[in-house]
Amino acid sequence: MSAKTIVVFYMHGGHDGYNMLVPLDQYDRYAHYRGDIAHTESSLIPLGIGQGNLAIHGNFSRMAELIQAGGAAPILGTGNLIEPTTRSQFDAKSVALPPFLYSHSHQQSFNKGAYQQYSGWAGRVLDAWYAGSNNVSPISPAITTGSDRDLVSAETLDVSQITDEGVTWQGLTGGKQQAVTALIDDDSYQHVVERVARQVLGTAVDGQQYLADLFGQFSASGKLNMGTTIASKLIAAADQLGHDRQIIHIVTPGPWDSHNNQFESLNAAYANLDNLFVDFIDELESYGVADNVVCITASDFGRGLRPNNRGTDHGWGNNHLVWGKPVFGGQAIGDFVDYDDPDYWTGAKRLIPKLADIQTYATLARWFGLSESDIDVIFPTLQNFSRRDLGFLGA
Amino acid sequence: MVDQLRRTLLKGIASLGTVAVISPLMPGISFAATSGLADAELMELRRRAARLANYATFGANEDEVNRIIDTGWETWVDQQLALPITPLYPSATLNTDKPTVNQFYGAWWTNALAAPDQLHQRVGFALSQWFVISSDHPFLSGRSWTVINFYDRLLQGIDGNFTDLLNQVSTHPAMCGYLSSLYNAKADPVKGTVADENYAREVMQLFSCGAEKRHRNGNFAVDEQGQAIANYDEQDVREMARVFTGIGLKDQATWGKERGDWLSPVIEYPEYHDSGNKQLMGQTIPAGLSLFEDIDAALGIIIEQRGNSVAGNFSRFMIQRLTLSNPKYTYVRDVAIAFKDSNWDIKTLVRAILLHPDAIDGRSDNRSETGRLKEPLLWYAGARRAIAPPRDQALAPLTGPLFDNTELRTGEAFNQKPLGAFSVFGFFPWDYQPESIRGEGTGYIEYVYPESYLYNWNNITTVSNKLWGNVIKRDNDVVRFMEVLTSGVSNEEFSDFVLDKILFGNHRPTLKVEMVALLDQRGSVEYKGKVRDALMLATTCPDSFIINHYQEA
Repeated sequence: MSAKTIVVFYMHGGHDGYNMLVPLDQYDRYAHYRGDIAHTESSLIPLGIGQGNLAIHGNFSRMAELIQAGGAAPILGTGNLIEPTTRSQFDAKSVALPPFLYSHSHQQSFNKGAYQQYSGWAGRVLDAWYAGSNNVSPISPAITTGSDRDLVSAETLDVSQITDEGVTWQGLTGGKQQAVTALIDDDSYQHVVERVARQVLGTAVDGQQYLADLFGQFSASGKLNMGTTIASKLIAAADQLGHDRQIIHIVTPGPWDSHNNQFESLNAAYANLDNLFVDFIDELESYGVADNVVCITASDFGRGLRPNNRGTDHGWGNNHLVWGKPVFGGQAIGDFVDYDDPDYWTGAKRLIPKLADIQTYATLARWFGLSESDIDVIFPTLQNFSRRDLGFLGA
Repeated sequence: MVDQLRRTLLKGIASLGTVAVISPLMPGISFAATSGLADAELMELRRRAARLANYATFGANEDEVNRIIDTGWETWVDQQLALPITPLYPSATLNTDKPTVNQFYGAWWTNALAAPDQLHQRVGFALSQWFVISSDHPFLSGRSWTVINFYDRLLQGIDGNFTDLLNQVSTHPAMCGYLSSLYNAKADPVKGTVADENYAREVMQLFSCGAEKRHRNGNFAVDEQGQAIANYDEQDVREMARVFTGIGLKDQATWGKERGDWLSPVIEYPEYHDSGNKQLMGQTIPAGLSLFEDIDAALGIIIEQRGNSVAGNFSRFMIQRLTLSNPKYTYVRDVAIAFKDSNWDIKTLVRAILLHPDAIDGRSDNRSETGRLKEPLLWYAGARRAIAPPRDQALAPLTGPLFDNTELRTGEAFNQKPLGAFSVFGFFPWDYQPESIRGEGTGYIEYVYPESYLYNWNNITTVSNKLWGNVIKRDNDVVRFMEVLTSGVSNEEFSDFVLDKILFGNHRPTLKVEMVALLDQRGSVEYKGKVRDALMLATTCPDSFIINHYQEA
């Protein structure tokens, strides 16, 4: 069986999913709540799916095509939850809630599955998959292409933190590398601490050379950014790495914490992202490895529906995207929560999620092939929710 | 000869006068001429002074090495300890009163690379690896000012005793937030809750005596059956947890709220403090005490009842951070006795560590087994300090950060960031053994090189790239090397000069052979390429990672 890969495009800071997706049937209510940061009805691209005639932001034209072609789907009304929650339960505090709602660090940590644990959900999924296996690959299948290791931090597996700086040894080329290699092999460095230094440096020279050789086999289009370029090559090299499952965390270029200047900054970010999301799949196709890759977006939280002066403040429920060849797209996953639904909006107009983000993540874990009991260990609160599989990867 | 040089360093009687300008053609010769020492003796002096500077600063450079030779080691240490402590807060807050973690790192690098009180800065960094908090903690990630204030508290603690510092750390809002003693409420029998044991456990296990009893010499004590002896049991942890109840933020009238004063010591919320009597390590803390009286009493009990463990544990840790990874037990013992007998005075401890014969000469029993691997931050800082002077020489005293952190990306590049360890256990397990030397040791004690835990191929390449891009490729920073090279020296002479200025002779002869061969590959006037080749090799070779006693005993 060929390798399966999950790619998580993390939008650090809390992306406003209500800026991305709008049900056209409720456009008047949307315009009413959003005020100055509302997009014109004519600028939105109708998707022809979901109740309420869902439309996507005008800068997502390629993603819109992908959705319509069945290769992508929006996931609606989703966020951090411990158990199903309604407005009256929220007000009465009669259900358990994620601690410190609206706090970046707490909600990001909760969302990554790292709440009260020193690992992320992706790391635990890989731990479960590779449990008992004899994986001796020099590169761990728990991969981050940025500084943020939390999502892929595991209990057992190491994290591969791979950046372009680490792949390219800028100053140590040619004769210099040969000189360092000669020193690493030189037995006159005989003291204990010298041998340790030789080992440390030798690992670096070998590892860097290994990845440089590995990556050198693939000719990048140049359309992708650093994180997605590395991700695409790791996916293409999965067989050589001995990985039949990989999860890759990507820092999604934003900015997303749109307290200010939201209209302009998200317009610009989306234009970039629409190409990045779809070019990434194209790049994988060019390597012949797109068939078993699923991409999702994730974020700390959604944002409040009502704008502050020129942006939006921290909220809760959100809308996300899932795409890739295995995705049963062209449909909406979950319900777009009516802007005036009294059961799912807090007094400050923050959406109470109807779906828990872990339902999305558990769907991915099941697609990986994990057992139901493993999934329950990885997502301890999944049993609070009726749907263990959201269906976007088949039955 | 060695003894004579050691005396020179120890007693500061090297009548070398002001260090002469080094002749670019024959490095060191004019210097030797003024001192009357033979060339070989001078080189040995420089090797030793640089090794000592690597213990006590963020990296040996020409100025500090000359100063050590000039004043003698003991005087240099005393002069350093008498300098004013340079805090981070002023430079971190130069342009803002709400600094971010980037401003913290900028201030940290400024002090590491350029603060005159290098020894304080090195000891402060070591203390920050003992009293661990993390800027990534949810309470602290958006409040870097409390993290910086905590770091400064550690720096200022050097000028005092360990017990006072332990007390100040225990009541600092950043620590209380990090280890959840903040808003820790006394047991509530109605709700069935008990006091949080997080801080109670760590203050004993990590910040003072350790879980297992130690001798003053740092070795673990054992009972008649050869088993480790616990310093405390679970009942002690529960009792200690009751001490740290009722802690809240100043200027915050509501229990449980995160907003408040994160720069002042915490205050007591009496209704949440458990003021009943407590039984700790066989001692009784009487009922009716306030939070702060309880803390004083509890910490006092640890120090009184587990003094040898505290002394052996902390002395060993600080030796490993500053001088040797594998100190002989007599070294730990000597330091621990000085530390304990001085009423836990931290400067006495630092002095005892740096002036010990084993630090200066290497382990008396086997010199080839001494040494230490530099942590990633120290590797970069050391190379940076040796190659380039601080960019703005006018900064004396420092009035602002030299770095805004964008060039270094400290949080990402090094796999190590100040006050940013992944867990309360710090950057690495203190007893970590790299694979290649497992099973080796002296007697039954195996060697540890814990810093190797922090290195992987990705961060070595990344840090090396930072040296390349931020220092070696900046022509202004390497101008003194260019001047020497273009004055007409041979490749061999230039290699001597570079190795003297970067490693001060602390390297294997092979390194010079490789360097000359590397330079010989270049055309004779490829000056820029040669300077860069030589500096790259000198900062990314096995010798650049380590502090080693190259001369056999």
